[in-house]
Amino acid sequence: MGSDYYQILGVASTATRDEVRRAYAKLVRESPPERDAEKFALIRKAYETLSDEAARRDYDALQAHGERVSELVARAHASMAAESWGDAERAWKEILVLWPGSHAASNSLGLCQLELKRWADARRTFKSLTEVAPDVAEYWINYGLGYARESVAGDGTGGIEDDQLLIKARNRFKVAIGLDPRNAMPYLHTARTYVRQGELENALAWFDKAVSADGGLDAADLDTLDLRCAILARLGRRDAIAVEVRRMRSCLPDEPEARKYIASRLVRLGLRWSEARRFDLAHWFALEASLLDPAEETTCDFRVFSGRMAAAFRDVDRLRGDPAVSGPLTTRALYVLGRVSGSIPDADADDRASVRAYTTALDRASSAAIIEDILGLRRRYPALYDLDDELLGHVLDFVGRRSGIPVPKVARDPGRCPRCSVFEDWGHAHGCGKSSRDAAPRSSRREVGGGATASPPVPTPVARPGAASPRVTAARRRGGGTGCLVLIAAWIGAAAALALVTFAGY
Amino acid sequence: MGERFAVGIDLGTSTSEICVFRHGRPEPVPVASSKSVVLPSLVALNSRDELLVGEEARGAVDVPGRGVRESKRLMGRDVEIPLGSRRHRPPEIAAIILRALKESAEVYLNQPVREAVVSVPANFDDVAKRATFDAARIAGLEVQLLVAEPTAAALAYGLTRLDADEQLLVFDFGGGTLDISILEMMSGVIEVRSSHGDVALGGKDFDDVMISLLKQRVIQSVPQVRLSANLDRDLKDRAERAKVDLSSRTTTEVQLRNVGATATQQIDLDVVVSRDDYDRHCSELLSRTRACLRTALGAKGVRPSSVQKILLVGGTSYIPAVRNIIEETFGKQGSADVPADLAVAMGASIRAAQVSGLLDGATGPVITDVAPKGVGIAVVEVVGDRRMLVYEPLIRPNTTIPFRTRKTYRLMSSEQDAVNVCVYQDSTGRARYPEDAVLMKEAVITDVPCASDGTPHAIEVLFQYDLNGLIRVEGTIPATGQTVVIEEKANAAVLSPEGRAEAEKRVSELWQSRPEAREFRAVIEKAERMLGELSGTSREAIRQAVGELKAAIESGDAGATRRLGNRLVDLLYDCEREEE
Repeated sequence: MGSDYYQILGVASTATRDEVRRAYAKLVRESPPERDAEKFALIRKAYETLSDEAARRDYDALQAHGERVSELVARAHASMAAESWGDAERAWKEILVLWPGSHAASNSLGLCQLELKRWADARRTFKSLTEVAPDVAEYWINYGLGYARESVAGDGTGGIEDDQLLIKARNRFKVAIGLDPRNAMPYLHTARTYVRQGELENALAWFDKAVSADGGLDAADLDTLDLRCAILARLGRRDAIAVEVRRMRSCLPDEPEARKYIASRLVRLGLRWSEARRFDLAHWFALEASLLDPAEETTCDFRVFSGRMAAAFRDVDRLRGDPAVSGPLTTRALYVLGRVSGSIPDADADDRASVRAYTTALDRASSAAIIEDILGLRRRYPALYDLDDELLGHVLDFVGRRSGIPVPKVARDPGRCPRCSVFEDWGHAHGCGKSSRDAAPRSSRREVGGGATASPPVPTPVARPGAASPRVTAARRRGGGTGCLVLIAAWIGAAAALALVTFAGY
Repeated sequence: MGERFAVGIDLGTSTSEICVFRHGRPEPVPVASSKSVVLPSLVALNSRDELLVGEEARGAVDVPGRGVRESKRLMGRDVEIPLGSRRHRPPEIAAIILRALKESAEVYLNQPVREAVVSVPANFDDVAKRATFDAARIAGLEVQLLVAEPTAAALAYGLTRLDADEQLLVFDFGGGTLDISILEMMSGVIEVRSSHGDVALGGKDFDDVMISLLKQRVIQSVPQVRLSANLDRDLKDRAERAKVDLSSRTTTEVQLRNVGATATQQIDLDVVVSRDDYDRHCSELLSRTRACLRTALGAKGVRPSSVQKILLVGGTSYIPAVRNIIEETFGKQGSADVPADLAVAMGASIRAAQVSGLLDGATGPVITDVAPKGVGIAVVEVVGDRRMLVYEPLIRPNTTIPFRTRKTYRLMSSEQDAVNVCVYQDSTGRARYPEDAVLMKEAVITDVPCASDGTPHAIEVLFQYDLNGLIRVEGTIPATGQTVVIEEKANAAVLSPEGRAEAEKRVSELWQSRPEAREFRAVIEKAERMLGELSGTSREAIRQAVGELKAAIESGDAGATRRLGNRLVDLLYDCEREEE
């Protein structure tokens, strides 16, 4: 090879450092830098490589095995891309046998071992790597992950061993922070260890450090702010979430597109809570989202839905042990709620059984008691009643007609918004325009029945009439709560699509 | 012409020197206006608006607006220095000193001097180096090469020690800067391994401490004194002398005249300052010195015990407390193998000899130097989970020069139509983000066409340190052939060609006002009067001599002026004799 450093200096490959120095000195005296810069550069490069022990070892390794090493590196990268961690691990090991000085190869080997969940091996790899390259933050982070991930991968019961692992992980992350305080990663990982230990306040603080690691707020901090929101929701800190949303907004320019994007992220967060059947928390995010993007129908619908579900869950809590409502009715209500919220799997047989149990119970009871029961449910637990209003309405009609007992017409108060009625404590937050506790009229979204004609004339943006409501009613005709299930599915699909669209926009 | 020679100049903050290399060794040149080989870096106007340089300027230099001290500290800065009725750029003041040195050498050699190697502090920035080039050009000198001061000193030491195989530390503590270089000598090659410095620590700071100490004494003795308005400037000279005095004695007495007044009388005072006292007041400067030395040793992980020789260079290294730091650190004294105030100029002339081919690897040592500062650019990299702007080092600190390297990057998207190349300097070697480094220059490549195949364009960045330690950075997009040389951050301190022409004119006019230039004026007047009375050959000879002398004065050529002036005097003398 023309650029063989040994040849350039005219020394044997076994030359001692002193021989290298002398050869270099002789050559430099012949070609000093001021005479021939190019030649000097060549001599100098050869000398710097061969006089430095580590550099010379690397050079020798690559001279001897360069081709095989580059072949293996390509293969290892391909395996990693295909997530064939075992193959990648073997390739990196062979690379390290041929070229022991490569820090990058050690790091990649450790990453493969992490993926293979071979924690002890991974830790050994990163331990020796951080010994030879102690000032690379990334290696320390990966070393810490060797502890943290084992804890996460365990059986989840935690315990002292887990705590020990997490503490060790945190110590490694701390070194990384010392080396590169502007890298958000070690702060994030530290925060996660606290989440894992249930120390949510600590986790919050560390997520916050991650946010401010690189200076100000920017788009890259949104994910971390999401995590903070999730924890704040878990801690029940509604007000703090509003603050986080303001921070999210300051991550991006104050433009309609950016607001829409943040709203879509909030909807996504809400959906996660609704999957966990925490509709109260889901509703918080839905509300924040529709404040940011009031014109977006899917957001608004999600807010309505999550609000209804949250109210229904609150009703259920009150309903249990309420003697004024009969046992079968409670069973039926809980059943419908369970179906709607997804905690009871969708099974028609169960539905039929529940209806049968209910009608059997009805057969035994007096008409007056049934009517009183249902009316009581409607009066005191409107959110629950609403979920099943079609069946209950039919029952009421039927029993009323059979017994001749006059039943108050099941008609909605014409001035009452059917959406808000069930979550009055939120006010007319979805912007139906009714004057309520927070009377600020926003936009009239949808005409419901004939009553909405009284809505104030602020119809921006004009909603397509019946765009979502018919979907709800149509579904509901097929029986009980399944309508709402369809609604959830529609929701999740729509919001996810929205998130994708806006994400692509950025 | 006579035998070959090479010239080196040490353009210092407090003193400047010039050496001529001939007959295989450097010779210090006595300054024309005095017998000394050291020219104080002082420029002033006397009361007749005549230009004074060096020792002769000492009496006038502290008159406000009529003198300049330590102008080197202003090199590369966008400032104007008032001198009499005019304002000058820092390179003009430096040019006056260079011209004085150049003419001394011309008188000494009896030959014109056109080029020289000029020394600069190892940590001088690019703008200051360019200002030095400007100064030389204004003075009519071509800079063959800039050489780092400690490197030059090492060369002066190494010239006769070709067989040395040792680790050497140059502790160059001058009037304005402290430079510490670590070198390795082997088989006739002197290799600078690292250079570290404090560009704002020098003898001047020690003078300032002495001034405040003297003032403090005055206030202690006469508490009700009102100090005179220009006291700092008035004390400057005496403070400097007291400092120098304390280098050889343990106490010094300073006579202070008219330092201020009380309600009833003017204050004259004799103050005794002891060395211990002075050292105590210098403690902050001394600890900065210690810190600088520690960092310099740390840069290459050098243990003090592995340093075989310490060269003390620069006037400030004479201060006993500074010498103590050396002794504490290394357990041995600094060497006096080379004269502390002349080593740099001697080394510069040796470097000049190497560059002009008077000296090569067969006949003398070869030296390699480093660029103390690392260079890099800002690039976007994924750090953890996010894209961040990071500092990408391309040249490590203390890389042996000349050096060039290129690296290829990708633009961020195929539609990107402009790229901003920001060049940063980092002297720690640990910078990770642009904020950790110093922005030097930046340039934008605009109107980059879209990459047709959807793959973002590659951009190739070339970094180069030349032998002067000047950086050149070039960005090229090979696909489109667009190239941009990343220029100095818009800096008004670098003279434009027109600016330099004006500066040359200002300096040349100033130069005309030197007392030497007026020296033969009376003789010329007398000769011109005599021309009317004379006739024949002597008239013609005198007419020609007057013309030549005038031309020499006009051109500012001191050697020729003196020679032609003396010839005219001889002619006139002979003429008078004949008439008698």
